[in-house]
Parts: sequence; structure tokens; C-alpha cells
Amino acid sequence: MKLQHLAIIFVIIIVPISMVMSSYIQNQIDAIKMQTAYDNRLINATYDAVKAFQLNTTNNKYSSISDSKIRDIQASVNTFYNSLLTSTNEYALSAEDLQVYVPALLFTLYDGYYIYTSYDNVYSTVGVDEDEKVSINLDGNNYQTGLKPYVYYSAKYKLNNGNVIVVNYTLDNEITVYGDFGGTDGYVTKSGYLINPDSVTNINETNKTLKYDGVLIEPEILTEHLLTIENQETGETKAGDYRYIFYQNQKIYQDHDDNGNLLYNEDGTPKIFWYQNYIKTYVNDATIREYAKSCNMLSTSAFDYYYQAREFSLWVRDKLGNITQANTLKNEDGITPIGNDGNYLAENTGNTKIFYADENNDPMLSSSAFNNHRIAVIRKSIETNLSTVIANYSSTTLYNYAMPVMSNDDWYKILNNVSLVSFMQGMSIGYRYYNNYAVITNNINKEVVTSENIYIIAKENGSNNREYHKPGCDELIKGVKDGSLTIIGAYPTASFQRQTLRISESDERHYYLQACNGDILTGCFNCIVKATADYDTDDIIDGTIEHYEDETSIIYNSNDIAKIRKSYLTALARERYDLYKSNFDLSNLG
Amino acid sequence: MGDSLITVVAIFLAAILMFIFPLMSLAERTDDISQLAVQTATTEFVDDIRTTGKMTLDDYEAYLGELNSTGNSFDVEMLIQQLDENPGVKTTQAEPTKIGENLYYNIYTTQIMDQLNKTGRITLKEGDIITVTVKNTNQTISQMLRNFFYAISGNNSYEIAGQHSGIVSVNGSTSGN
Repeated sequence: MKLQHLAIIFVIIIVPISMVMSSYIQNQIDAIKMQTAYDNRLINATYDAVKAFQLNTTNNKYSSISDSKIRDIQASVNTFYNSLLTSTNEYALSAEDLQVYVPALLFTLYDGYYIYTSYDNVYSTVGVDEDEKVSINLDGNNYQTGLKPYVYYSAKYKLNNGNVIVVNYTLDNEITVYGDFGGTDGYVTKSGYLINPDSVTNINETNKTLKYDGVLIEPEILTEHLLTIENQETGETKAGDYRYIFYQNQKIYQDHDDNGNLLYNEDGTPKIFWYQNYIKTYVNDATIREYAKSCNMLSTSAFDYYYQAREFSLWVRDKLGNITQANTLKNEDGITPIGNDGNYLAENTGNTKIFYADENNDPMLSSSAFNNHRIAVIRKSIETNLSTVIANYSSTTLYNYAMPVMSNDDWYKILNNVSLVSFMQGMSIGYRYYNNYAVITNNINKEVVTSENIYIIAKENGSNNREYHKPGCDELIKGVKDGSLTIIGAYPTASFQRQTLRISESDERHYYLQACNGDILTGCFNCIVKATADYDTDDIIDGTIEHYEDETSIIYNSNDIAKIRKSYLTALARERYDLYKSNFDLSNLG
Repeated sequence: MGDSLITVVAIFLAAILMFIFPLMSLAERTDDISQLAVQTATTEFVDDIRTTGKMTLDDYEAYLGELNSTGNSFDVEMLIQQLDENPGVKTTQAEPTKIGENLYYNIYTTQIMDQLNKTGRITLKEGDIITVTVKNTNQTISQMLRNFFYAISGNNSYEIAGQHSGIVSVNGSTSGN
């Protein structure tokens, strides 16, 4: 055979192989490109939804009330679909078309979570007669999309006497315990914050002072800068700094005249008002006025927090002190304890007594056994519910919905903040189907006060510059240590968001709650703008600051950061205590 | 004489056809796959930073490991743009998210690496922008073969490149993990 013939045969064999190969690889490349594009769209839509939730809650004075919260979440769901729709409009023409590909949206809130998905709970009338009408026919034809009922982060535990109790967890160290303890205790419902009770000392109930871990907690003055509407028609507004306290989780402000003198009623009680719809609504209720007078418009929330948390923690230590993870009942049947099965929960805390809070297990710290166990049981609960919901998702496509495996990092994010997890699957991308999820967390909202949600305001001596800092900011610690900065107070991150007062369509006015005294309030360049975490927030709570490079060397001791710790620990306690929690408050009534 | 000349030419052409052509085709496919891997790794790396609000040395090294597993060497360029809302905050009328009323501070690869090596992590906040660009620095086989026929020189002679950027969606955590 001639060489030329050989070459032709070679070409005939190789060219098709090469073409098929290149087309296959090109397809793969296209699929990955589409996957990346969808990932991006999903992240962006989820972010938009979370942002909508954040804007709605920080500007909504009633956002903590349950109905209002559902409305905020539904608005957030709408934002999600709208945002997804604008970026994927080659795939769908309306939000309903897109719902086919979104089997679930998970909203994790302070003490539980909502799942937005399709469900069938429609009572259908199957007969003509009255008694036939009531029969339930869940035939799978009545699916509708919406929020499923709220699920609390809860876990059941079997006590040593055989009784079963339930513990509801939250995103922080608060828990609710209920169940029949047996014996003389009987059925008990109790809520509270779990702290290390040994660190609370020197309690003075008359002056409302105590020491937490050596830090003096005392009543404090709180101030906010408000913009109030003086005249609805002309749109005249007035700015002023008002002292406030919390009464039943609502802020009450004391009015003052134009010269800044505090105003009092004729009976000697402070002239107080609620800030509702940007208008001063004066309080006439005698009980509230008396309360304002008796506390002298000083906030004692931080004292109440530690005081009540100590009592609660001692009670928990007594009643639940022996519980380890082995006592946890399995989610699947709610009867079998997990016992020695160390792999059932994502975090194995071994034989550590979960609810026995002491210096080795301080629930305020993110590294404590309590916190690890909390994350593990909440994760289990969400996993069980979510995988069922997604697997049962009914839609018109033939695609088999399944919950994707989520990484540990993602779980950590979900379980420490308010977050939205969106799942999108079933879209055809080349040779396969898209199946991915996006987790976006939010730490600026009124749902939860995490240990990082507190900023400290410090004023430069001899100027009108106020800066807010993270508690672990090196500039702040140095400034306070050498006396060039004075700490004004500490407030939650949501208080540093721009507030909007809308007078009309075209007339919006803005103000900042903490820009008091005519000072200019800016974020510290070192910690807020650069977002540098010089030191761990856990170290501030703990009292000694260690250097990252060399974990053993302590560079600031408790004395150096005493003022910062005081301000921080007071604010953290106050904000947690004053947070509106429907579940918590109701269960303490009994 | 004429026949043997044609035979020599034919052998030469056949060698190109049967050896160089499949090799080039294969090498290009390899590059395509590397390209795919690089783009995917870059997107994942950036999206991870965007949703966690922090960049850690571990993540960065894992990313480099993924890049190097393609068998090429890479030049990674990172850029963080940090949003400073403070100029906007000083007047209450300004829009805090509007570009022009705020500042962005740029932090480049070497500064990022300095900080990563020092503290092991960089935290970012909501509104910051992260961009990662990666290009190969070595000559891939397909580039070498192509240079055999026609040479491309200059700075932009890379074959495999990946780029991804986005806005950070959350304030990075300053405690624990």
C-alpha cells in the first residue's frame, strides 16, 4: 500500500474521532459555563431576597410581630423570584414558571425556620351530602406553593428517670425547656439564657448592679437621634437626641424642649412617647409612666439579663445537668435515644454535659460544647425536614428532586445567622440537569443579636468625630488604653444603618440613629471599612487577647480592655434581653 | 528521481498529518479541559469568598492546588475593592451605595498575600468587590506546537485563563471559625 493511501485511511479514521471528541468537550464546556451562570444568578437572587428582608425589617418598626414577619418573608420570596426572573428570562416568562425549578427556600430565623415550598393540605369536597364534604382527599392535585408552618429548632431528651422533655434552641444561647420532669416538679415550661452562672457575682438588687466575670454591669443611659414629623402637611421635620428605655421590648423615649431640658408631666413622671410612624405618640398609661419614673429613664436590661440568666442557668444545671448527647432522641421516630452513636449528629460532643454551664462550657462562647451540640441538633432537624420536602416536591417535570449535600462551612453559616438558602434544580444544561443551592446570611437585622452584632462608639477627645468600631479593633483598644478615645456606648449593628423617612414620593429624608450631639459618625477605617478582624470577639468576651501569629502570647490583658469589655458585655446583654421574641415571652407568662 | 522526491514530500506530509496533527488536536483538548478546570476553580473560590465574607490562607492554597493539578503554572492576580461609605455618611442626603459618593480602596495581590501570610485570613464586608484573574505562565504543549508553525509573542500569549468577580454579600465573621 502506498503511503498516500495510508494517509487517507488515517484521515478517515482520525477526523471523525477528533470531531466527536471536540464536540463532546465543547458541550461539557458549555454545560459548565451555564452551570456557573446559573450559580451566579442564584446567588444574586438569594442576596436580593435577603437584602429585601433586611431593608424591610430594619425600617419596619413592627417587624418583630409574627404577622408582619410573615409579610416581610413573603416580600422577600417575591424579590427572589423577580430577581431570578430578570436574569433567567430565556427560561421562564413568569415567576410561576420558575417555581418548577425551585423546590424549596429555607429561611432560618431566630428560634426556628420557615420552608417555602409546595404542599397539599387542601380539604376537597368529594361528595354532595354534608357528611361527605368533610372527608379529606389528599390526592396530590391540590398542591399550592407557600410558607409551611414555622418549625422551632427543637430536640427531645430522655431524662434518667425515663421522662422525655423538649428543648427549643435559638441562634444564640437562649433556650426554652418544657416537659414533664416527673416527681414533685411535674410539667415545667421555662425559658432563659444559658450562661456560666459562676461568673455572676456581687449582685445588688436595689442598685441593679452586679459583676459578670469581673465586669461591673450597671444601669446605663441610652440615646438615639430621631427625626420626627412635626407637621404632616408642610412636611416639617425636627431632629433631636432622645433618651430611651425599653418597656416590654418597645422603645420609650423621653421628650425634651428646644434647649435640651428633659420634660416631665405634672405628676413628676417623665414625659414619654413611642416613636410610631415617625410621630411622637405620647404615653398616657400610668403603669408605663411609673415604670419610667422608677428606673429614672436608665436601662437596667443588662442587669436583668445576667440576673435572670444566672437563675435560669442554675435551674438548668440542677435539672438537666446530667444530660449528654446520648440522651438526645432520634429525629426520625422521636423515641430512640442516640446513645453511643457518635456519628448521628454532625458534631460529636462525647460525654460532655451539654447543659452544665461552667467555665469549661461557657455557652456565650462559640467554641463551647453547648454551642456545638446546638448546631448539630438544629442541623439534624433542618436536614430531616428539608430532604423530605425536596424529595416530595411535586411539579410537572419528570426530574427527580433531591437535596444536595451541603458543606460544613455552609451549615456553620446557616446556624449562626439569619439566612436564606435557596435550592434550584431540574434545569437542563447540556447533557445533565442543574442542581445547586445558595446560602446567603445576613447579620444586619432585628432578628438576632449575635456576638458580632455589637459596635462600640468611641469619640476622639477634643473633636466632634465619633467612630464606631468592632469590639476587637486594634485602634479602639489602643485609643482607649492611652486615653485618646472615650467610649460613648455600644449598640447593635442595625442602629448604624441609614434610616429613611419618606414624606412623599419625591421627598425622602435620611438620618442615623447614633449620630447624636451633632457629631459626625463614621465607621472606623481599620475595622469597619477594612473589615479587619484584629482580634477574635470570643477573646473580648473571655477577657484576654492573644495574638494570631503566636496563640500563646497575650498582648492585652483584662485591665487593658476592661472599659471595652464593660461596654460590650452590657450592650450584648441589653440587646439580647430587649429583643422581641414571641415564643420566649409567652412561655414565661405561666 | 521525480518519484523519490514525491516520496520524500509525501513522507514529510504524512508525518505532519499523522503525528503533529493528532498531537495538536489532543493538546488543544487538554488545554480546553484545563481551561474548564481553572474557570470552575476560580468561580468557586470567588463565590466562596463572596458568600462567607472572608478569604483564608487554607482556601487560597486549596485553590492553587486545584490550578496546579492541571499541570501548568499560573499567575494569580487578586484585587479587593473595599467600600468606604464614610464620605456618603457625612451628608445624610447622599446615597450610601451609589458609586461616586463613596470610595473604594484597592488592595492588590501582594498586599493580600502579605496579610494572608501574616494573619491567615482577610475578612471582607458587605459591598466589597473581589476580582480574581488567573493566567498560565508556562508554555503548554499546544502552544509549543503552534509556535512551530507560527509564533505569538508578547505579554498576552496565555492559553488558559480564568476570571471571576463579584460583590461580597455578607459581613465576614470575626470569631471562631
